[in-house]
Parts: sequence; C-alpha cells; structure tokens
Amino acid sequence: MHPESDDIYLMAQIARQDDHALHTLYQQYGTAVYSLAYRVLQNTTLAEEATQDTFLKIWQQKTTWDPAKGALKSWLLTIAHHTAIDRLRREARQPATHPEAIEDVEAFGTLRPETWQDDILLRSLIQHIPAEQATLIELAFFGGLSHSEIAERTALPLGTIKTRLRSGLRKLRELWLETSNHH
Amino acid sequence: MNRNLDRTTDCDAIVELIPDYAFGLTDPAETARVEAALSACPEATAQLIDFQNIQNAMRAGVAQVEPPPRLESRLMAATQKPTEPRRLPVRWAWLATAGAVAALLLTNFYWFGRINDLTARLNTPTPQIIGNQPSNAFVLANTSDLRWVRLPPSQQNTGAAAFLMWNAESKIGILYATGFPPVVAGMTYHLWLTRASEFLSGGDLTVDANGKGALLFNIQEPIDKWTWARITVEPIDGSKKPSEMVIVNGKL
Repeated sequence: MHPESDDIYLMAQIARQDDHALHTLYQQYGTAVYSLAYRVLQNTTLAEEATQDTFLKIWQQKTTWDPAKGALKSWLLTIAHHTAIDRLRREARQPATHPEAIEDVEAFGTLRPETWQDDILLRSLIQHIPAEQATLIELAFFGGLSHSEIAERTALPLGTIKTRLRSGLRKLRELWLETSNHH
Repeated sequence: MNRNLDRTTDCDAIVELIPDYAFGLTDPAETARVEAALSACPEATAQLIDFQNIQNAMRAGVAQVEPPPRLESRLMAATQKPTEPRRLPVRWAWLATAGAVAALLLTNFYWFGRINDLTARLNTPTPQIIGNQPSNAFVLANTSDLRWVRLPPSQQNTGAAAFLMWNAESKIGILYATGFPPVVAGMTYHLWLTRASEFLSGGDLTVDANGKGALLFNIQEPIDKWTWARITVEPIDGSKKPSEMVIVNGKL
C-alpha cells in the first residue's frame, strides 16, 4: 500500500513528463492493470495493448487524478477497465463466458467456474448469490454488456435480466457490507 | 401537496435505479434522472458509494497475471519525445538551410530512385502518395491524407527505428528503416501488420551496410484497417507468422 503523499508526488512528476516516474508507476501498478485487462479481454495481445493505452493516457494527461475522490490504484484500474471494455467492444469479441439458456442453475454456475474461483472477492461472496445472478453480474461488469445484449446472449426476456441483475447486485451489496463490517 | 412525500417517493425511485446506474446499465433518460436527483437523496448517494467500493474491489481482486517483460520497454519507447532541433545563429541559418535543401534533394533523388526500383519490382503504378508531381523530387505532402508513424525499437538502448508512411485509405505504404543491425545469414527482416490475433505479411526489408533500408509494400486491404506494425527477424524461406524476434513495433 503506497502512502497517498507518495502517489501525489509520483503523479506530479508524471505531469512534468518524468520518465522515471512513469517507470515507477508501471512497476507499482503494471501487474494490476494488466491483470484486469486480461480478465476482460482474455487475450494477451489485446491485454498488452490495453495496458499500454492505459498508461499512455495517464502519461499524455488525457485524464487527471483527484486524490480527494479516491486512491490512485482505484482510479488507475477504473481507466484500465474502461479502456479494456472499449477495446472489447471495438474488437467485437465475445466475453469469455458464453452462457446458454439459464435453466439449470447448477449447470449454469459451472459454465466457467475458474473465472469465479480466481476472483478473490467474488469467490467468497458467490456462494451466497444465485449462480444465474452472479453470471449476469460478470457479463455486465467484465463483459461490458448492456441489459439488451445480455438478454440476447442468454435468450432470456429483458425484464428477467433487469430483475435478476438488480437482485444480484443488491445481494452483492448486502454481503459486501456484512464483510466490511466484520473487518 | 406533501412535498416531503413526493421527495421521498422520488428518492425511493432513484434508489431502485442505483444498482443499474452504478454498473452503467441505465439508459440516457434514467442516467439523467439519477444524476439530477443524487444531491437530494442521501440514501441513493450512500448506496452508490457502496457499489463503487465493490467495483474497486472487483477490479483489484482479479487473478493477478504478470505482464510480459517486453510490455514495459514498449511503453517507455512509446513515450520517447523527438529531440528539439538546436537553433543556429541567424547568420549561419541560410547556409544550414541551403545545405539541408541540397541534402534533401540528393536524398530524395536516391530514395526516388529506390522507390522506382521497388515500384518496378512490385509491378504496380506509382504509389498514390507520390502522385503526379511535376518535379523529380519525392514530396512528403503535408496534407491531411498523409499518415505516418514511427515504429520504436522493441528493446531499449538500440538505435533501430522505422517510419511508416501511407495515404489515408491506401493499400500502399512506404517503410523507411534506420539503425538496423546486420542480419545473420539465412535470415531477413520482415514487415507485419497486425490487429488482435490477425497478422498480415508486408514483405521482406533489406538493409544496407549502414543499417538503412526501404520497403514499398502493397497489401490486400487499407493500412488504416490494421492497428500495429512490427518488423521481425524471420527465416529467408518465409514464415507463417511473426517470430518473437521483434526489432521495432508501433501502433498505427
């Protein structure tokens, strides 16, 4: 965990186009950014390109960090997430999860078990969220799909998608608050 | 009219939309409605913060995968700025200008000759970017249609670089390489254009004893449709896909 003062100094140096500062930023957060890009894109070449694009956006100061609004890492990963989703849409690639009709909850939940087992937060919470809701959250968050795109992908009515997603997200928030209160 | 009841009802409706809004799932009308009401709905704001914290955790909580070592060097190469030209005293400026023009003409005659040789080999009409110029100079037209990129070295501390030029929507491009080391016998430099997992051969690049070379290439679809260009070392007999020995690599 980096002190905020270090992050503020680092970003100030990047604003002055200090190569060494960018190198430091990459050393500290490159793996986190690449990992998220890879999670979304499921392709090493695209993940590399999205990672490079993310750091170049910061280098070129196309967006600036406000320490008052959150940690540097969260801001950086938000940019990386949006960059990767934009790339995903541009490449018109399918998300790694390819759910068929959601009929058998157990079968649906095992369509891509390694995805959930890899995500630390979701691994602990997923057991308490119905599998069909959890997969919809993945399609929306890591797949960047809209309600209608999810409905098309899953062959479920749009209303059902909206209801299940909201329920799943509310359940996720409840579990998150319970987990946070215990720490 | 009970304004407090109306406000509560409105806020209840906004709270219902918060999960969708937080995950970018609201339509434009819903988005505008949420954003207009947030400042007056503390519960909605509090839930939005919770969802943002959840999203931060989801992004940070993905399985950690080490990026390939080449990524950092590519990133740092992409940030290299061109060096600023030094300004000469005014009294020497005219000499420098005359020298530069002479050098440019000589160089252009050389490259125009090379391009003519390459054009003949390619057996196509003179490329669009040269056009029907009245003089024999190869003119770098300063038009909005001209595209050019620098392909930086894929590894630091090498002098290799390449420049790729083409007209918008053209299938013909010119590559100029400099600082390339000699290639071992049986191998050659090769240009590739890539996008996602696809790659397209642009042809072999030959460099002279000074590490300079040029390639005029004509591909099956507009260069603008591709996203990256790289030069690799390949067997002289040809390769089906780019090797890992990347000399220069740049985004188009």
